[in-house]
Amino acid sequence: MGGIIIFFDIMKYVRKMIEIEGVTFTYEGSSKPALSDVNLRIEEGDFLLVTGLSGSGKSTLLRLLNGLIPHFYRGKMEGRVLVDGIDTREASVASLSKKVGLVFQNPDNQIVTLRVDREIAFGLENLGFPREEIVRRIEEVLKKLRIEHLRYRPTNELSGGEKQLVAIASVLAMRPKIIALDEPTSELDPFSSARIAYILDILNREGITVVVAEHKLDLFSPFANKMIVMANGHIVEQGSPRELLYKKELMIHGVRPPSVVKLSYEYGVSENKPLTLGELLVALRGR
Amino acid sequence: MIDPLSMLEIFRSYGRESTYSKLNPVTKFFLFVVFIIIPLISPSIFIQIFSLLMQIPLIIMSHSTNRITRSLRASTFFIIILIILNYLTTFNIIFSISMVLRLIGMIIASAIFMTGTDPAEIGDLLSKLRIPFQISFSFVIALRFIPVLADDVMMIITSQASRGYEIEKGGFLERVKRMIPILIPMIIIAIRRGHQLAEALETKAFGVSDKRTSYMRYRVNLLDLLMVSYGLLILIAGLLIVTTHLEIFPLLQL
Repeated sequence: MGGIIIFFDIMKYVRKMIEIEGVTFTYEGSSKPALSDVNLRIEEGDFLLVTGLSGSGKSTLLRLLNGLIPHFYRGKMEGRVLVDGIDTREASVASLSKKVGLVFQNPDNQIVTLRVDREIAFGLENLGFPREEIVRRIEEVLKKLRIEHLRYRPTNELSGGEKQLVAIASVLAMRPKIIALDEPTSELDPFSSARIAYILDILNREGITVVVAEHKLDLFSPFANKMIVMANGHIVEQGSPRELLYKKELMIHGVRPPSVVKLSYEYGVSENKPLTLGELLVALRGR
Repeated sequence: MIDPLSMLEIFRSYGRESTYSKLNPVTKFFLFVVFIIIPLISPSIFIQIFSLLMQIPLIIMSHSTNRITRSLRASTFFIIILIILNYLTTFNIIFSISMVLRLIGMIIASAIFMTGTDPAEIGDLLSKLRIPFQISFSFVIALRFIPVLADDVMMIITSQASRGYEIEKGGFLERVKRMIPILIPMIIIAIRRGHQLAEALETKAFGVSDKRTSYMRYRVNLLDLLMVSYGLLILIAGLLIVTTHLEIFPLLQL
């Protein structure tokens, strides 16, 4: 009995950042719901990996988090989404932008100014921050993402990976507690993709809650502590990446396990459930 | 004889830094306005020559001497035709030359301004002139998306070409018709980009607060003060010339 009370006491301190309760959403003009009866809880400090086939509802799920649904996208919404205790239907996208930063797939469509520092300043200017604070945050964010050298570069001249880092920087400057990324590496080369994954891990270690919708499981699963698989607007699997990626049923939903998983089956070390090459090697040595 | 590309070289977009480009955008805009007003205050050839000569320091400061001379040389034929056409309608050679000089003067003024000013500075200038941010911002966003859309066009052209579609075939009308399979995907892509851009702007709290702050700060330097006084002097001198020279040079009176 005492144990249960202590457990509930601890639970009080694990803060729920986002609660999605029974959300069904149908876009205007569509007959099929993009999300049906989705229930999800994201806690402070989580690194959540969202995966699933294209059209499975990943992007729609992310749009729920900062209120783009229902404020920007019209449609029929049931259920509710609480972000840091606030119902997204009652808050504006702008006020939610200080809590949840959303980064999109194509960096070209989200960079709106002509120079890197101005891009990072843009959101802060819109929110009416004083100049000194803007300058401080630009420096802080550039340093955090290790892109100080890009500060005065024209945005048009950046590479895809650099553009995506700048897009992340411009969102981070607003100091959100949660950063959500919708297939951030789909337009990037392998090196830049790895860089994004690495940066997200650093941000997560610093206490930012990360939600990332991705297909590149090799890259992101070692950093994530939670993972969900989506299919036809439903969350079909939920758990830790280590647990989920070794489930055979994953293939039914069109999710191909990373090569490390395949190799560990091949070498008969799948009971150790390695997720990185390093872990696989350790498992092989210990055999 | 006519080489439109070299003629337009004068307007080649914002390039390297120069003493001129480092001026405060308000100063640059003021000088631009001065050199647009001066040629317009009188059709007299004297004032046109005055305005051209007074622009020389600006040409030097903006490192555009070569560009402007090249562009003018390429336009020689065009300039002669303009003078002849003017003469045929007015039968006054001085007036004709003066009109063409007026045109050249204004072109040079706008070329110096456009090529010596970062597009983002023009956006800031527009907001400083109390033009609503939504409007000045649409100017910046248009510039931001020119290279992106240019890439899209290239992609569409090459993908249509790889399916055996020939754009440059047939007469003028045929060619215009052949642009349709390029334009339609282009418009669709642009609309889709626009939608995603709106989404991104929404997440960056665009247009929420009336009290939008500005990160950019432009300093007013000694050179700015000097250049503004230079502009003012020219305005005063221009007005003096218009009001007084007509008696001094009765021949030039028009």
